[in-house]
Amino acid sequence: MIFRLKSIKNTLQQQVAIAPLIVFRIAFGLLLSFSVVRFYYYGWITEMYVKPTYYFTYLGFDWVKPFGELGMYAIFLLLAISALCIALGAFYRLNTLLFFFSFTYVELIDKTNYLNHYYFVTVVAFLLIFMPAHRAFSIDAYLFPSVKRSRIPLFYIFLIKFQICVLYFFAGLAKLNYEWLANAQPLALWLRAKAGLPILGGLFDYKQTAYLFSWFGAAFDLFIWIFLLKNKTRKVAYFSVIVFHLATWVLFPIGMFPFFMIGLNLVFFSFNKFQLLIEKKSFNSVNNSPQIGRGSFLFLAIFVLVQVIIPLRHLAYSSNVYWSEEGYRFSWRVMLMEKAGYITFIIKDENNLNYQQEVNNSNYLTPNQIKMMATQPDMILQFAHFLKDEYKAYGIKNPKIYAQSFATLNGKGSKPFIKANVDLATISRDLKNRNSWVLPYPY
Amino acid sequence: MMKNNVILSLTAVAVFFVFIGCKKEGCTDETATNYNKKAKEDDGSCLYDSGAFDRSVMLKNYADDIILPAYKQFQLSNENLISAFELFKNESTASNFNEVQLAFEETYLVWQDASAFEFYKADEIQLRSNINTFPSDTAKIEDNIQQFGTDLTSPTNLDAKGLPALDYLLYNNLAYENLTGIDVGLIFNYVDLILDDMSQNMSLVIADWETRSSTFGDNIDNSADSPISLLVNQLNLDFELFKNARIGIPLGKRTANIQRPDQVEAKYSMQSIKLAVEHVKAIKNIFNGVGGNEAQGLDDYLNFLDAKYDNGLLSDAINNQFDVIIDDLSALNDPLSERVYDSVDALNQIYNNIQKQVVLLKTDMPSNLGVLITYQDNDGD
Repeated sequence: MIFRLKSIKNTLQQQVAIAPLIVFRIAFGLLLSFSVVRFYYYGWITEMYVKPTYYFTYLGFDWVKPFGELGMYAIFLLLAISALCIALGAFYRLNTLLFFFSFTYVELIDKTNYLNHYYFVTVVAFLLIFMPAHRAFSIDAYLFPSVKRSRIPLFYIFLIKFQICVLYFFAGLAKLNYEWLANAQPLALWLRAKAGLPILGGLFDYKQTAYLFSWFGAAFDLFIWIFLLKNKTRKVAYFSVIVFHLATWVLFPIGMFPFFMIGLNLVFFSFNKFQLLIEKKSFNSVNNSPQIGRGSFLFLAIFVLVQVIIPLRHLAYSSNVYWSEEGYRFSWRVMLMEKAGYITFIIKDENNLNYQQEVNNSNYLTPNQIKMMATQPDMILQFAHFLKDEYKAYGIKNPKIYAQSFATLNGKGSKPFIKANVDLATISRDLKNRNSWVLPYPY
Repeated sequence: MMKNNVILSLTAVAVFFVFIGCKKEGCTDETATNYNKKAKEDDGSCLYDSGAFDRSVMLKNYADDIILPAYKQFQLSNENLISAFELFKNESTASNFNEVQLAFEETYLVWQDASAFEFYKADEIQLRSNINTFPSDTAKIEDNIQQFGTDLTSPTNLDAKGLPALDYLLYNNLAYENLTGIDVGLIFNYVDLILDDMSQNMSLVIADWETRSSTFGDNIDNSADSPISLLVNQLNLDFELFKNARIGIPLGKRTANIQRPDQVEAKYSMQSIKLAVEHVKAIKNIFNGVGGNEAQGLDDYLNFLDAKYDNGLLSDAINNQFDVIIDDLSALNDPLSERVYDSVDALNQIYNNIQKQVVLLKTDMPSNLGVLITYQDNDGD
C-alpha cells in the first residue's frame, strides 16, 4: 500500500506539458468574463442582488449580505475584470483570489440563485488559485520572466480533470433513478414542449424520443470522461461533448453551462504545437516547476474525499431526495426533475386564538424567490423563521407559522408538501432530517 | 478503427435500451394510432396522429377567437357607454341616466373577459391597471374634477380613473343629483376624460393585436417570451389577482380576518359577486379555448400531453374545480360588502377552492406544458 501511494505520488510529480493548463486558464477566464457581462446585460444584477429585500442565505453563512446597488455592480465589474485578467494571465495570483472570493461571495448571498454550474465555477476558481497557470503565454510571464515554466507536475492537470470527471460521473449516477430510466421523466415532459423546433421537433411528441434521450444522457454522463481521458477516443468523445451540450443548450434554459463544458473540456487535449511554441519562447534555463510538497498531497486527498462524499450525502437521509431535497445541492443533479410548488403561510397568535393572517409572499420576495422557495423545504423553513421575527416586530408576542403548500414532481399531480399542522417557528434550522415537518414522498 | 467502435457501441447501447423498452408490451392508449389491444402494460411506444392536436391551431384560436374578440367587445361596450353618456349629457333625464348605468355595468362585465391577457402591448401600457385599479381614491377623483386639465395618463392617477372611478361617479349616494345639478360641467368633463382614456388604451392594444394575430400561432416554443408561456403565465397572474383582490382581501385574509368591505370591486354599483362569477367563467373559457366557436384550448393541449391528476385527466380536475367555484359563487347574492360579514363560511370555502385551483393552474398545468412560471427570465439547471 505504501509502495502504491509512492508510485501515485511519483506519477503526480511527473513533469508534463503546461499547454493544456494554459488553454484551460484562457477558456475559463474568457467564458467567465463573458458570463458576467451577460448577467449584467440581462439586468440580473439588479433583479437578483439589488431588488430583493430578503435573501435566502446558506446555513452558517447568514452573515453574508449584499452590498447595495453600487456595491453589487462594483463586485460584478471586479468579477469581469479579474476573469479577463485570469485569461490574460495578468497578476494571476491576485486575480484568481479576487475572482474566487467575489464569485463565492455573490453565490452565498442567496441560494435562490444556486445552480450546479455556479458551484462548479466556485470549485474550479478555488483550484486555479494554486495552479501555475500563469507561467507561460501570459502577461505575468512577459513582465516577470522568472516565473516562466514550460512544464508542470501532472498533479495540477490531474486535479482539474478529476473535478470535471466528478461532475460528469455524479451527474450520470444521479440519473440512475426510477423516474429517469423507467418513465423518461422529466425529459418526457420537457421535450414535448419543444415540438416546435425545426427538424427534430417532430420527434419530440413520441415517447421513445424521451427514453432515447434519457438513457443516452445517463450513459453519456457516466462514461464520457473515460473516453475523454483515453488518447485514442478523445477526439470522438470531444465531438460528442460538443453535440451533447449544444443539444441541451437548444432544448433547455440552461444558460452558459454548455459552453463552460465545451470550453473547459479542452484541458483533456495535449496541444503539442502550442507546447512547442511555449518551449521555444521559454529560453529560460529552468523549464520544470518545483516539486509538489507533502501539504499538497494532503490537500489532494482531502479534496478528493470531499468531492466524493458531498454528492452522496443524501444517502444519510431516509427521505426521497427529490421531494425533501436533503442533500440535493452541490451534488451535480442537473436538469433532473420538473418540480413546481405553491405555498401560503398562515400566521396565528398563541395568545389570541381569533387571530389568523395570510402572508402575501410578494410583500417580501421576488417572483423568482417565491417560485424557488415553493419547492425547497429549507427555504420554506428559513422564510417561516423570518416571518416569526417579522410578526413579533408587529406586536404578536408568540407568532405561530403554518404553511399550506403543494408540490408536483414530474407532472404527477400536486400533493401536500409541508405538514400543515406543524408550527414552523418551532423547527430548528439544521442538517437533521426533515421527517417531522416535510410530508413523506407521496407518489 | 477505435473511433468507429466507440460510435458503434454507443449507438448499440442506445438502440438496445430502446429496443428492450418496446419488446415486451405495447401501446395501451386508445387515442394513439398504434393502439395495441393485446398490450397490457404501456411501454411508452404510443404514436399520435399529429393532426389530432396542433399547437399552432390552438394559439391561432386564442388570438383570433378569444383575445381579439374580448378586446373588441370591451371597446364596443365602451363605445355604447360613451354614446349613452352623450345622450344623457344632452338630455339629463332619469331614464337616460339609467341607460348610462346599464351600459356601464355591461362594460364592467365585459372587462372580466379581457383582463387576463396582460402581455405585449397590454403589458407595455399596463392595461389592467389603467382600466381597473380598485378601490378608487375618491378624494383624488373629487380633486381632479375641480382641476382643469387633469392628466389621466399620469401613473399617479391610476386609482382615480377607469371603471372603478366611473363606478364612484355614477353610483355614489349623490351620483344622480350631482350629475343633474346646476354645475355639472366639470363632472361631465371628467367622465369624458375617463371614457376617452379607456378607449385610447384599448385602441392601442387592439391595433397591436391586429398585426400580431396572424403570426401568434407560428411560434409554438415554450421559452419565456413565447406565446404559450405568456398565455399561461398571465392566465395565472390574473387568476391569483382575482383570488387576492376580489375575494381574499375583502374577506380579511390580509388583515387578520378583519373584513375590508371597502376593498371590493365595483363597490358603488354593488355588483362584485356578479363580476366575480363572470371572471371565473372567463378564465374557464380561456382554459378551454372557448371563443366564437369551440376550438382547441389549453385543456386539449393537456389531454394531448396525457396530463393526469390523481387517477383522471388534469383538464377534468381543473374544469370540475372551476364549476365548484362558479356554483358556490353564484349561490351568493350581491353585495359582497355585506356577504363578507354574513356569509363568512361560504366565502372561506370559495376562497379555499380558488386556492386549490391556483395550485392546479400554477403547478400542475405549467409542469405538464413545460412552461416556467416566472415573471422574469433566468437560467435553470
